[in-house]
Amino acid sequence: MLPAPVLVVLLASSFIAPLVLLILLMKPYLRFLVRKGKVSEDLHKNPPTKVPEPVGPVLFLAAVAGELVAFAAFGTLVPVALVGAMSVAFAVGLADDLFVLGARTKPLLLVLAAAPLVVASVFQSDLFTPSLAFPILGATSEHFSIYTLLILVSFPVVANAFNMVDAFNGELSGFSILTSVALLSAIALHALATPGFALARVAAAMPLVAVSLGFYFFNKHPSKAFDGDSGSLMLGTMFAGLAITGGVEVAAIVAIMPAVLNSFYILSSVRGFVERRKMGGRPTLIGDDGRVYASEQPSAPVTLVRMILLDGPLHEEDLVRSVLALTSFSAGLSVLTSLMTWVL
Amino acid sequence: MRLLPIASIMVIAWLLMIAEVYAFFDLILNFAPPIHDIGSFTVLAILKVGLTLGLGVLWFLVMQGLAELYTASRLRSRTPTASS
Repeated sequence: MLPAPVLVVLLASSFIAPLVLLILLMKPYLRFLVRKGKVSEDLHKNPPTKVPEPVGPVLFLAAVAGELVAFAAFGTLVPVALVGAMSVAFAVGLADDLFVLGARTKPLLLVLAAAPLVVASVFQSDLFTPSLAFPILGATSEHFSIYTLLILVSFPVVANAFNMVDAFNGELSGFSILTSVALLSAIALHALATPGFALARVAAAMPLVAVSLGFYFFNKHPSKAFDGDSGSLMLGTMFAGLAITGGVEVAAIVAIMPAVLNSFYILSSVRGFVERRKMGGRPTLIGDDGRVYASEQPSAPVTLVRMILLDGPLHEEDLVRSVLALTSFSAGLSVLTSLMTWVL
Repeated sequence: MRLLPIASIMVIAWLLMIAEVYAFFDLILNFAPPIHDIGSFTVLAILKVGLTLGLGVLWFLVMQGLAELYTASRLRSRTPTASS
């Protein structure tokens, strides 16, 4: 066991390295995207503005750097397995950014993100525990086959849930900061309550917080960068992988409750997986006053944002503040869930 | 105040999840011997799987019902907007 000050320095390194790398790379990469004409219209501005997209590659590189620092510092396979899963999701997202994949193709390909975790568990048997820990009741018995099935399902579900909250300036990046802090708290509480639970899992969660925080400075209103699917799917996959390797699946689901409900309402209102460009209308629209309104079209998908706007229109910043307030609330419920699981 | 109903939906989703976990552990798991111990699907084992799926369906139905209730209540109290 390393002395406490050394552990603190190692944990801090896995946070600082990705944050610094992201800040250093982002501005030249944004200039590169503009030179190449890779810009998208920000449809929630009146008139629409042009924003460089996708910056997923920078987020990916920064996250990988952070995981490599965690791997070098603690030497377990957790960060390596996470990099494998993130690479699959990043590749799927980048393919969607460049060529537009089908609505069913994307979730199917994202199932492959589970493969690195399952393969790594062959070389490191404690990579994840094939059981779920619930508040007060404790952990279920171990079922490798059922748990593996849950892992396969969880990656496309969580990655798509992140992708679906990526609609407004600062929405995904803010959401990712709040939920990753809740996830980090859950893993830290698990580590404190479980003797022998490797601190490496806490270190592996640091890059997600760092990348989300760094990205927020470029993504907040008015956005200077859009992540694209390569960024949102990668962040969602990283979140799912950390929840699995950290053994905090239940607290993780509670933290992302706004995204889970959002995905659930979208899928139930459009009746299945439909590519967003083929949905029967947009859930929101911009008024002449620059505020965001809920769509009146019955065929438009029901989203969390549309539900918030049923009470009346909002400026984009206030709308994102509302979404992040709900996310803070769910993050609080997640910390409560963690306390009920690991402390009480 | 705008967010209170949606935050309430989230609390209900959370409480329902914890309550369903209790139901799963205390009722369904004790309902019949574990399927992997029996080695075959008996009627009780199938009922056990069915009840577990039922908990999931119940969660989805409650969430759907709450969303529809919220939407209907908001649409009733709405005044025409600039975009409509």
